[in-house]
Amino acid sequence: MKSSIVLWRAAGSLAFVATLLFMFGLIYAAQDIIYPKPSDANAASNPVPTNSAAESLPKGETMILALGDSLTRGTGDLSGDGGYVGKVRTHLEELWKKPVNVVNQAVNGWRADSLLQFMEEPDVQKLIRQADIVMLTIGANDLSQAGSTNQSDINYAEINKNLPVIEEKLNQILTKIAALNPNSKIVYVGLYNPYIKKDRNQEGSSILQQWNLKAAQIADGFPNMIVVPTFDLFQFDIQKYLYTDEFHPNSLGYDRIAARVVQALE
Amino acid sequence: MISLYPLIQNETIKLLKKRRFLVILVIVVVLVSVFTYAQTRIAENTRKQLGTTDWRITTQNQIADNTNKLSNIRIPDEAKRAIKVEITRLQYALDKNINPQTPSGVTFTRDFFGNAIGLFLPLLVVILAIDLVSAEHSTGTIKILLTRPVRRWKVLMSKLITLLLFTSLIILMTTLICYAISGLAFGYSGWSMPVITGFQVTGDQLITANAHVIEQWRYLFMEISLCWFSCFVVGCISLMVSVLVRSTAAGMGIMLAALISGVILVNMVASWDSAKYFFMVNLQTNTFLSAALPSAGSPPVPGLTLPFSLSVLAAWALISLVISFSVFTKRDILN
Repeated sequence: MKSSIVLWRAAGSLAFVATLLFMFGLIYAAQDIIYPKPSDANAASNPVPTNSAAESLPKGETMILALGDSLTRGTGDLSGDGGYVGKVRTHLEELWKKPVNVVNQAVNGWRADSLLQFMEEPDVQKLIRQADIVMLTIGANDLSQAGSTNQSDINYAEINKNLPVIEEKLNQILTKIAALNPNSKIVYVGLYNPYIKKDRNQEGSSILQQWNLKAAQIADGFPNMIVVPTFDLFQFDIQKYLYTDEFHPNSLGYDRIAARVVQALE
Repeated sequence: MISLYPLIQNETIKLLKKRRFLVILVIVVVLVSVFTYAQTRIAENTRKQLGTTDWRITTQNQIADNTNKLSNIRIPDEAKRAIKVEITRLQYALDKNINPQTPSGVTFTRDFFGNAIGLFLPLLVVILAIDLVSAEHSTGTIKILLTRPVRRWKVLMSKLITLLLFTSLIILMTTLICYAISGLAFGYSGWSMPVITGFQVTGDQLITANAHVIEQWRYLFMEISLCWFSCFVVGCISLMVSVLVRSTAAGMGIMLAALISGVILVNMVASWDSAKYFFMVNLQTNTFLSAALPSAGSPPVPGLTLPFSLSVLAAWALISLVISFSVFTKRDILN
């Protein structure tokens, strides 16, 4: 009986104090949420971020920044490696025997103007400055949307008409990246023709080759910029390397792109 | 006339002697250990996948991931709203340079409560509360209890107060266990780490006008207190079930069904408006602190605010208590 009394006193008083505490906390929380204080203190105590990420990045590690559209995002890669970017990272880590970080900021469906707008953000510009390698794909959505018609066939004349405008946007993007970080290696992954089977007159292919040539010409203006061609990878037996949407590469397709990128970088 | 004090003492000793409280503590210890281990694995995995633990980079990646989800046409509009809110929240953290997830014992405890309030913590309270009255029936002690010169309402009141005390004890012990165990893995610091609170969600907008930064211990304290209230409300409802239903198993089943249905209903309440008057939809009051969404990927519930949720919970508790007391004081004890 004695131990029961001791137990009761200990548990009871602890519980009583806790109850009071939580009651107070509940009122405090309700007050803080319902009548929030204006936030004046946080400006002083938390300075605007300067370049904390750069400082906290360990030396001797490589950072890959991936920008662009679904091809860079890795759409269609069901292996979970993260598209060609993730595969490149794995290869490079093995090759260089040091950690390689990937910041993949690519967004499905982005066109050149979306990326241009995105690159206006200070956080993104900071990322570009920090990156050792910038990889990007852009333009595929611009081209396919320019040529999309109500029917399943593609309006190549319309693409041809828009081509100079889109090429100019690509020029702006690549120039801007190079200006933000002249030291990083910039890898533009060229386009392939996913519709090559339907493209009997080679109209699409000729547009894409022209596009890839233009990209290469832009890259020639910068010592650290390269264009990795992928067109030939998806010419023979294309079904084997395309995802079921018949537009994006599958894991095998990304493997081949990654192999090219690694060759160019090593 | 006997005062309430010895009655409460009696009830407390009964509960402690039943060892059920000990079982609850063991459950918490096991679960927290498992979660702590899982959390360390997640951190390791993130490190492996992204190659970095730099929070600014992982947060950037999270934003990109979420932006990609937005472009997926198969995602319903409500979920898109949730994703947009999440993106704003992450972006705000980046702008203010405050890591939303610095691993530490305190952060773990904070996250644990955030996740446990929907189901786990109420369940612990239910385990204690569900046979407070019905067990007296099944063991026959109800007759001994009620033949004492004590008014019936006092008997029930003592049980209610004991329940309140034990709810506090469960929350307190869970906090301590969480902190002690996760601290082993993540370190015991982090009390003064800045945390952002004060977000308001209206539709698909996250309003940051009132967002302010507080120390993590304040945040944790508020969160725990909100959890405590939700748990006590569930306790009151369990007490009513215990008065109405003689069988402990049946009572447990009822409460389990109610709590689990809440987890499911939260996902549907965006389309079914009046579901927000159910208590189980309102349990996760701590989400108003963080503007995080009740369960990952579920849409923000329109029209849910902290005063609303607290009122709904309080109303449920009050009605349960009224029913409990009126039934308990009037019912004939037959067997």
